[in-house]
Order: sequence, then C-alpha cells, then structure tokens
Amino acid sequence: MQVIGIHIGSSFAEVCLMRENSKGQLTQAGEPVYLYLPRQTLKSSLPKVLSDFKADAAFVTTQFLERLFDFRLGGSTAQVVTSGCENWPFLGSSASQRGWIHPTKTQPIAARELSFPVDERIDSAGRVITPLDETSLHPIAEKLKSSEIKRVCIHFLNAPANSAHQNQAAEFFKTQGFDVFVPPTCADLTEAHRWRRSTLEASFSGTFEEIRADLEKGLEGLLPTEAIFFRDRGNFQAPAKTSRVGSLFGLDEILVSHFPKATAVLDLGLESWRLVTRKKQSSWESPWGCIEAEGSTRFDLRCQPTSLLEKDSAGDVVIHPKKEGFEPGPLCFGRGQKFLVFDLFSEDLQQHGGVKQQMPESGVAKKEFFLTTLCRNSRTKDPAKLLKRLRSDVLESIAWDVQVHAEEGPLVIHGFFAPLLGAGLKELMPDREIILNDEASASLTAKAGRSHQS
Amino acid sequence: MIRFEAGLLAEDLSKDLHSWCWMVGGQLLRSHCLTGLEAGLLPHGIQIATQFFPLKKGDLVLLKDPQVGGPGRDRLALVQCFREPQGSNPGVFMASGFYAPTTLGMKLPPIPLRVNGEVNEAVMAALGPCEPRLRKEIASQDRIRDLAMKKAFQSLWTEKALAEETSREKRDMKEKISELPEGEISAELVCGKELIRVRLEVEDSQINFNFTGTTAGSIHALPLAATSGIVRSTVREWLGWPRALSAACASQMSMSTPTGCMLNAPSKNSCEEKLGTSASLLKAAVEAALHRWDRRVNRGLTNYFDAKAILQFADRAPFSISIPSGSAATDASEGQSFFDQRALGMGFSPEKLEASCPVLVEQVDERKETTAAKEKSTGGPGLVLSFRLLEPGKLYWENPPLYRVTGKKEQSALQSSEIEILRKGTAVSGNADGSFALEKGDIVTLRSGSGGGLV
Repeated sequence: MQVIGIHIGSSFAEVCLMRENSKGQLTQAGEPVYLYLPRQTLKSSLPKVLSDFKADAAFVTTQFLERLFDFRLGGSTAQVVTSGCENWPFLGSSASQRGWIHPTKTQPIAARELSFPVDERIDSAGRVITPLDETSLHPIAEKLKSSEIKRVCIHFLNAPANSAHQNQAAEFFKTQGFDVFVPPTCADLTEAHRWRRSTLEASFSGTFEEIRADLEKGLEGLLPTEAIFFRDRGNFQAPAKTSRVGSLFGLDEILVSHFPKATAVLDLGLESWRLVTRKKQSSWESPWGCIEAEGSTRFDLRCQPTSLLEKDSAGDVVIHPKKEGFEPGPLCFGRGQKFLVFDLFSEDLQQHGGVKQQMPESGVAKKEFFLTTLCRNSRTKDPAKLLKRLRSDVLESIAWDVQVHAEEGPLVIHGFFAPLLGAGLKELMPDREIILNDEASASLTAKAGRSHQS
Repeated sequence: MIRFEAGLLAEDLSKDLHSWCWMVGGQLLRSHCLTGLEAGLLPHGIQIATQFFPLKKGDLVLLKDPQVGGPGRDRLALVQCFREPQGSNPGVFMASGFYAPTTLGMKLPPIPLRVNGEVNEAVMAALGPCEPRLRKEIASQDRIRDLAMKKAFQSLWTEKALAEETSREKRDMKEKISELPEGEISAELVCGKELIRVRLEVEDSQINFNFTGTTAGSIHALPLAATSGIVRSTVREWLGWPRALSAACASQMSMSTPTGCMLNAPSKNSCEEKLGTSASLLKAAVEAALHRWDRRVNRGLTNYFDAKAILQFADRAPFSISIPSGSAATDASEGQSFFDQRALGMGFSPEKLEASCPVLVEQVDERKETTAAKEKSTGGPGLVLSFRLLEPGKLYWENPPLYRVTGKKEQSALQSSEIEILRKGTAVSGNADGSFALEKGDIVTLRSGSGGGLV
C-alpha cells in the first residue's frame, strides 16, 4: 500500500510519499517536498514529485486562510433572508475593536446588494406565522441567474425550530441549478453566528474548488479522483462532501488525535504557528467575526513566521503585531522588501532541503544588508547581537503564549520549525514535559487517512 | 524584548470576560470594562469583599450593590481569592462582572458564594434563571486561576517583581503623558438642574481632573469608585492607549471630586436606578474637555446614550434590550453603526428576543433619516428595531437625558434615541415614569441615536 499525504497552505504545499512496511506501518518513502505555490502549481509540480510512485490514495489537509484575505468574500454569494432582517447579517457583524469612541467592524462577509428579503415567518416555537410563497422566489432566481451568481445561502429566522421553509427554499434554488448553503443547527449560538458560518462556507467554496481542481489535474492519470480525500473537522471525505470551513481545521484534529497524551500541540508550521489544545470549542473567532465551528481550540500565536520586525519609537527593533504574507515573502526570498521573523532563521533554513531553493544568494545578501542598515539606526549596533536578541524574543513570545493558553501537562512541539526552535523552547519551559516531533504535517495527514481507511 | 509581567498575564487571561479586575497585595494590578463603570467599581468590590470576609484560595463572594463595588442594575459580579497572602507573597484577588438580566431590581448585599470549596446552593437557587450563567462565570474564573497560579508564573507574583512592574509602568506612563500638549481647559455639561464641571490640567507628566463646581445629584449620581473608573477609562480610550487601568493610571491621573456632588454620591443614595445614564453623562462631560484640549484629530461627539428598554411579561423574567448608537465621525472616516460594538456577551439577537419574550421581530435595520443636513462627515446612523406583541406586557423605556455640552463649533448635534408604540395604527403615549402598558398586537419601534458628525 502506498499513499500520498498533502498539506496545502496559503503559499506552500507539503507533499509526503508514504509506503507501508512489512509490519503494516506507513513510513516516508523520501523527504517531504515543499512547493512554493506562487511559483509552482500543484497541477504542474505533482507529476514531477510523484514520478513513478504508484499511489493507492491521496489524503489532503488544507489551511488556506491567508489566501482568502486577498479578495473580498461573498462577491458571488447571495443571501435569501426573512423579510425585515435582510440587513441584519451586516448590522450584526462582530466588532474587531470594541468601544465607544472608535469601534471598528470585522471585514464584510458578503455583498449587501445580494441580500434578498422573502416574506415568510416562523415563530420561536416553530409555528408557521406567514407561509412561504414559492412564487416570491422566482424573481430572485432570475436576478441571480442574470448576474451569474451561483451560490445561495438560506437564512430564515427560527429555522432550527422548524426547518420547513428553509428546506422548501433550498429545494427550489437547487432545482434552479444553484449551489445552496443552509446554516448548521447549534443551540448555544445565535442566528448571526450560524448565518455567518453558512455564508463563509459558500464564500470559501470558490477557493476550495480552485485547490481541488489544481490537485485533481496534478494527480490526473496517476490516481482516480475517487481516491482523493480531504479532511474536515469530522473526518476524511470525498471533496464534494468536505465542509469548506471545516477543512481549515482538519490538521488541528489530526494533531490532537495523533498525540493523545499531550495537553496541547504547538504546531510551528512553515507558514503559521499555532497552539491546538484538547479543550473543545463551539465557535471560532474568524477574521470575519465569530462563527459556529465545533472542535479543538486553536490559538494563533502572536508571533508568526511572517510577523514584521520594525524599529519602535525607542529605537529598539521589535516584533510588530502586523503580519505579512509569503508573497512577495521575506527578504531572503529575494523579492520581499520587509524584514520578517522568517528572515531570522534564513541561515539555518538554507540547509533545509525544503525551502533552500526559494532563497537565492541575492536574497540572503539582501537580508544581511537590511540587517546591517537596521542596526545602524537602532540601539543595538551589532548585527549578530541583534539577530540573537530577536531570536530570543521570538522564543519568549512563543513560550509566553503556550504558558498562558495551554493547561499544565505534556506539550508536543510539531512542524517545520520544531527542530529549529524546540530546544530553545524546552529551556524556557523547564517545568513542562515537552515532546519534540519533527514529522511533516503531510506525513501525519497520510497516516491519519490510512488509519481512517482501514 | 518581551516583558513577562503579572499585568500582561492578567490581561491575556481575562480578555474574554466582559469586565474584570485584579488586585495584588491590596494594590490595583489591572481592571477593565468597556464603559469604564465596572473598571472602577470592581476594585472597590474586592476591597469590600476582603475587608468583610477572610477569603481563602478559591473562595467566592457575590456582589450586586454598586455602593459596595457591585455592578448594579442587570448585572452581577464575583470576587475570588486566587492566593491568600503568605509571608512575603502578596494575596491575589480577581473580580469579574457579567450580564444577568433576570436580577434587574434585585437588592443583594455581598454574599459568600463558595467557602472551602462548598458552593452555597441556596443562594444559587434563589438567583433563579441566571444560575447557569453564574456557574459559567465561576468556571471561567477557576480556569483563569489555575492558569495564573501555575508554577511557571510563580515568579511574577512576588512582591519584588510586582513592585518593579509598578514602577516601570509609572515611568512609562509619565513618558507618554509628557508627549501630550500641556495646558488647562474647562468644560461643562448641563442636564436639567444638574451640572458637571470639569477642569482638565496637563502639567509635569500628570493629568489632573477637578470636578469642583459639580452639583449634588437630584436624578443622577455615581459612587466615587465608579467616577474614577469612568474618567480614567475614557481618557485612555480617547488617547488610543490600552484601556485596562493599573495603579499607574491612578498615580498619573489624579482627580479632585468634592464629597456630596453627583460624582461622589454619599452612600445613602442607591445610585442604582440611573447608574448607566449617570456614567454616560460623565463620559460626555470628560469628552467635552478632551475635545477642547487634544486637537490633533478632528472628530464628532460620541453618543453615549444607547436606546435602552426593559420588557416584562407575566410569569417571565424581565428582558433588557440595548441598541447601540452610531459611532462618531472623524476627519478621516464616517461613523459606523452595528449591533455588537460594545457589549461583549450581551449582543442582541432577534431569535433570542423571540425565545425570551412573546414578540415577533418585524424589522432590524439602520435608521434611514439623515443625521444632520450638509454634514462633511456623517456620524454612524442609529439602528431601528420593531417588534409585534403576541401577549399583553409592560415596557420600561429609559429616556435619553436632554443635555448640552461645551463643544467645538464644527460638530453637529447628536440625534437621540426614540421609542414609538402603535396600536391599530395610532400612537400610544407612556406613563410619567417611562413605562408603557402594552396590548397584544401593539407594534413597538425602538430607534437608537446617531454618532456625532462634522460640519
């Protein structure tokens, strides 16, 4: 039995080829391969990576959140809402900064002009007050078709008490050829959270489908599409059945179940650093506001590989709360213009087969030059000392987040940066049992998939 | 350099709570509340609780009355001992306030709720429908205690570390204030027969507030602890500083508040009835002074008066509705309006309203009336909520007070919140005490006001 494990992020995809040994265990058939997606597509790169590897199945986890920030969500998603509440999804948005004087909203999740009121009403006990007249849906469908809108969310008040109207409208739009999304039922959360969840599900769909199509083309002729499985919060699924929002959490669930004795898993991935704990949560504070999303608790660390390093007013270079992306990326990638946390580790990473090809000599020289210039204008004049201090700040910041957010107990440090930062973190948290795991995420994905299949 | 400090830990661990306060060794470590009200009341609550009850680790005291540090009205607060004082290790205490609408009007003295691990179940039962919320708050506090007091953080809770932290903070805050313009400015807020007079002085890295000349309260009143929290929180929010208060805030932001005036009400006044409105009036007065002093950013007046109503039906707990007013405009941006901009954990939901009361929501929207003619930057529009009564009931409407402040001329007037009740198409007027007797089929429309614009 041979399988492929793939973890697809916003800018990188990690591919691991796995082979079953004589004891029936999956082992890596080679080093994991890292594809830099702005330059290498899955479609063109996967055939080269696989070469003559004959796989029986591919198991995929995704985490493409950053990619979604690049464009406004919901441009092609419509909402059909109980009349009188058609503006509620926009007024009930979460605050990204609360307060009296300068409150700010989270990013809009959908377009207001694509919210359509429908006369229907069900009360909190589930009694029908105003029946849904299906003929009122026809003009909406016509308008959506003429605007080439393909996805429709049905948001009716009190649908969890009686879903008759919701089902009727969903059926109507399905027969009209639309992709229909209905909110999940969750007793603890309000309609705002549920509606936001289904709108996100619909809005993520486009990006998910792009990834899926790219992947399927990359595996064309090597693997039938029925043998490709995506992991969402529940389990591995055929792509069509995978929850788009849930797929962002697939790896979290794999990590928690792969290390059953750990209180928390610190995932120091190539693109993002986060802490996943065993504690369950019913909601997720997404960049678009709180949504219904049950599963293990995830905390995104304050310091990320793409955190900006900048001089503060006192002349000290500090880790800035602002995060950049991998496009154009850190200075050492050659095209970036900003000094990022990733750059602090570029020397060590040059030895790493996975990303060294993304770091041309000119990029590394650029980083050195930038560091020297930064030193000239900051309080620490020696580049080596500054580098050492900033690396220690990164470790302290991570340790602080772990100590604050993880209950006492064993901690697993996993991911791309685990071999680089693990020892330092162990020193900073002497009271905690720390287990280092340098296995690639794609390898864990493959093992979880294989175990699910068997 | 990453700072490992008890204050930062307290902020990190408490960030999901609505209002919270940490006291260590009898000194304020951090307190926070969006309105500022409980940021001042909770430290007082911890002092009262520790003065009257010898709290041991894990013991809890329940607070309600604002004169003894409780949050009053429709809220409750819990004080917990995280660590008793032991030798050179100072005692660590935490308090948090939360929304408990069914306790509206309930009078409660401070009550020990958990002693030696035993919860007073009789008190729990007496609190009725808010019991699950109370248990949730206890669980949150217990989790925070376990995280804060674990071995890894023991070095942060020593007298030495805390003293160093406090002196560092005072130094930082002095530095920050020294960057602000110096000067002296006065402002007044008049509301009926009541007057709040503010003199703001910034000098020698110190901000001083003098409220001499403020009248005694006839309708509105605040305990001194509340005044302190509101003033300091408003200044910090205005300056864009982190809003949690610390001991440094008290030392670098002094206040002179004559005894007996409405901002330092004697304890015989309950203060509870108009606590929220009184807090909003004080914030508006402080902001009027800040507008005249800090002219770096041109901005409209903040509307601190949300549309507030309480619905009551037979055999049901009262339900309070609060619809936020729009936010103020600045030169750079127009104001916004959205429902969940202030109250963490008490956000409005049409389904929640219908599940709690026999009503049917007919409309949730933005107010369509323009806030003022020819505004350069418009304030955030108010919101509108309409619902139909399915059973007879009663509604209490908190009228926004008619007040006037000394502001800048380029600011437009605020639009205030309104209520409208229609019975078979005809408007119904309320009683003198602000209550309305409602009949089945009545349509109630609540509208919140706009934020200030710039003309």
